[in-house]
Order: sequence, then structure tokens, then C-alpha cells
Amino acid sequence: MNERSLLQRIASGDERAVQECMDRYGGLVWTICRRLCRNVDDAEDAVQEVFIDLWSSSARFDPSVAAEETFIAMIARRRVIDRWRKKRREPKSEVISEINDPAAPREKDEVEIADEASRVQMMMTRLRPEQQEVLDLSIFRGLSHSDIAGELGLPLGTVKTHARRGLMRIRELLGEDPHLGKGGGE
Amino acid sequence: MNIPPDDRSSPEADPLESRLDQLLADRATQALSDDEWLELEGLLAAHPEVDPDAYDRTVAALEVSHQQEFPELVEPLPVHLRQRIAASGRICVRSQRSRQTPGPAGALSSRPAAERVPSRWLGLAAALLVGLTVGMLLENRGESSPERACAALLERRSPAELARAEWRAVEGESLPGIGGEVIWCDRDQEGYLRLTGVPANDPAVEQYQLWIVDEDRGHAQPVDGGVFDVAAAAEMQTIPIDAALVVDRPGVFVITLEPKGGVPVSDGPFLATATIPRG
Repeated sequence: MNERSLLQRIASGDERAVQECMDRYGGLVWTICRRLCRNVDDAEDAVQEVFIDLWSSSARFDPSVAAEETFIAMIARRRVIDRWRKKRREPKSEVISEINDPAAPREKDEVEIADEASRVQMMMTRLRPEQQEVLDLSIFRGLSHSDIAGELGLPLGTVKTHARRGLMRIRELLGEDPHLGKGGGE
Repeated sequence: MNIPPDDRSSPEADPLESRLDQLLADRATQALSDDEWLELEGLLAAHPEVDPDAYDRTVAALEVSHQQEFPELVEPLPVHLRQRIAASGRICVRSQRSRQTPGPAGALSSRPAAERVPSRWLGLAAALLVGLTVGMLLENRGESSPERACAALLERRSPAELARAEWRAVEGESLPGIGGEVIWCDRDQEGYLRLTGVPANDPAVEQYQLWIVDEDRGHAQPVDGGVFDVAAAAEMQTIPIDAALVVDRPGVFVITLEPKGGVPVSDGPFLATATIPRG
């Protein structure tokens, strides 16, 4: 079926898609911002910037290159990392705290996304343990490479190598995937 | 260090390509320094065949999978944020629509074109066009320069009375080096843009235009903040905001580039935004 994605609908001027996009991906983006930003205020600023980026760049989304949620997560992470760079701060991980706001309904309607998730998670387990550890600390805990070097007692260059080679390996593994593959492979 | 044999086999013939690959991997997982950023830009320019987003997409795919694997870690978007974001979304979508359907689209306009009196702005802009900078639009507030007027506002009002936010470039648009901030005082209905890193425009052809998303206006229409010119990119420039309507609760300030004199309905795109933090 040639059903258009939410971002494609937004790009074509469909206002309802804005709400649907927030329903479907608001949690994804907010969770990234909340986890990687230093505090709630910072996360709130970041999440607004992410969505403004998304509205503005919706026409650039190409479903043949990446899944929609992957594209959105990429924009979100990139925006938060750009904030780190601009603020000259090293990221520090924080425990996710409770949010006072009542929840907007969360949609979990995509069986395929869950399937992809499992596949990607499986690929992580095929990395060397040190690569897994570095990527876990870097991506999911938001530690800088120098923090990871300190925590693991490794030279900075080794941490960078583990991160890079781990990502290269995942790209290779993703390379044949028709949906994620272009997102990772070359 | 124990680099395993399988890891040694990756093709890295060209040291520059190898360096580019490392920088792209670094960028996907942490913040680059300014020097690294510049180096990356240079290497990417020299290697247009390289997909600059491949590592970012890989990390994003891992992020999505992580959230799927651990749904208990996923937090819903808070309602108050959702409302604010919806406003920017509507504006942007209408702007996309007007781009696709030329004509009266009714978006991004807070002031009928006839009320804009561009000739008045241009006259004032010409008068203010001294030296490096320049601005715009506006009413004369009796200050001899925007810098002094801005300093006076900062001195007169407490931080709690001022809304301030840093400018952020919109990804992929033409103001990647933008810096500075926006300062706004609801009480005085007075505010200033402080800008660096904005390329000069040709005022005879096009002008930057400011838009203000006022949360108290039901998010339906942004307020026109006036047009302005930039004559030099390197200097910090202070530009008065000329809000066409009363702004009680600014949420997001947006810069677009428009034909000379500004437009009543913007085709976008957004070039930079400044989001007022709400504590």
C-alpha cells in the first residue's frame, strides 16, 4: 500500500498529521530529550526545537532511506547533541524522573516497529562486549567518550574505536534489511 | 589495546576518509568540538560521495529499538508541551500549504499587507543603516541606538520580567552559524534581537522577517515582528522588534527570509527559532 507517512502528510500541508505525529512520536522524542538533557527545562526547550525541525524538514523525509521513527529519532538526538555542543557542556546522564503532567494517550500501534526493534537489539548482542558497553554508555546513558574512558579505565582513542567499530558492525548487519538497511548500510 | 582480527579488516585506504568516518561516528554519539566540527565540514565537502547520516541513522535505529525493548522507560509528551508544539506545527504546515498553493493562504499573517507600510520601514532602515548593521522596521522609541535601548531595557526590568532565549538554527536551512538571543518584555511590549553569524542580505531584493508565536492568541496566527536587514555577519547586532500586535505570552520567535518589504503570508522556511523557556 502506498499510504503516506505522517511526515509526508505534514509536508503536504495536512494539519491533522501534526497531532497524529505528536501522538505517535511524542513519547519517543520526549524520552530522548529527557534522558539526554540535564534537566526538565532544558529537555522542554530541546523537544520544541526537535519538533520545529521536524515540521520544517518533513519534506526531506525519504521512506526509502529510513523508517519514519528512525528519522525522527535521528533528528531528536542530533538536536540534543547540537545543544551540548553549543552550550559547551559535557552530557551527564540523569535518572529519568517522574513527570507531573498527565499523559497524553500513547499509541503503540506498530507491530513492525517492534519487530525491527527486536532485530536491532539482537544485532547489539552480536557485538563484542566492549563495543556493546561503550555504545550502551554513549547512546543510552549519554556519556561522552572521555567520561566513558574514565569510567572504564580505557584510553580515549580505544573508546572511540570501540564506538566506531561497533556502529560499523551494526551497519553491516543492517545492510541487507530493506527497511532499516539503508539507514545503516552504505 | 585488543582490537580483534575481524575489526582490523575494515577498509580504510585513505587516512582522510578514515578520519572522516571517525568524526561521523563521533558526531553520532557525542558533541564534537568546534574544531572537529569544522574539520568534519571540510572533509564532507571533499567527499561528497560519503553518506553523512549513516551513523546517525544507525544510532537512531538503536534508540528506537531500545525504547521498544524497554517501554517502561518511555515517557509521554507532557500536555503543556504538546500544546506549544502543536502551535508551531500548525504554522509550519500552513506555510507548507501556502508554498504549494500560491495565493491567499491566510497563514503566517498577523497584519494585512496594506498595514505594513513597507516604505516607512525602508525609510527608517535607511536612517539606521549606519556602519555595520542595521535593522529595520520600527517605531522610534527615543533611543539613540538599538544597543542602548536594549541595555536600558535590561537595566530597567528584572530577569523575571524578561523573556529571553537563544537563537537556534533550523537544521538544513541557511543560518547554521546563527548565535545570540532574543529579549522580550511583555510589560513594555518591547524587545530586541541580538544576532551574530547571520549572513548579510541584499535589502534591495530580500529581507529577514521576524514572527512571534504568541501563546495567548490560541496559536492560530503568529504575530509579525517586522523585517530587518543584516549588513555584516561577524558583529553582534541589536535589532528592535516591531510587533504588529500586542504579545502577551511569546512562545517561539522565528526568522524567515522574505522578499523586500516582508510578506503578509510567509512561505517559509523557518531559518532559526528561539524558544522561550517556561519554568
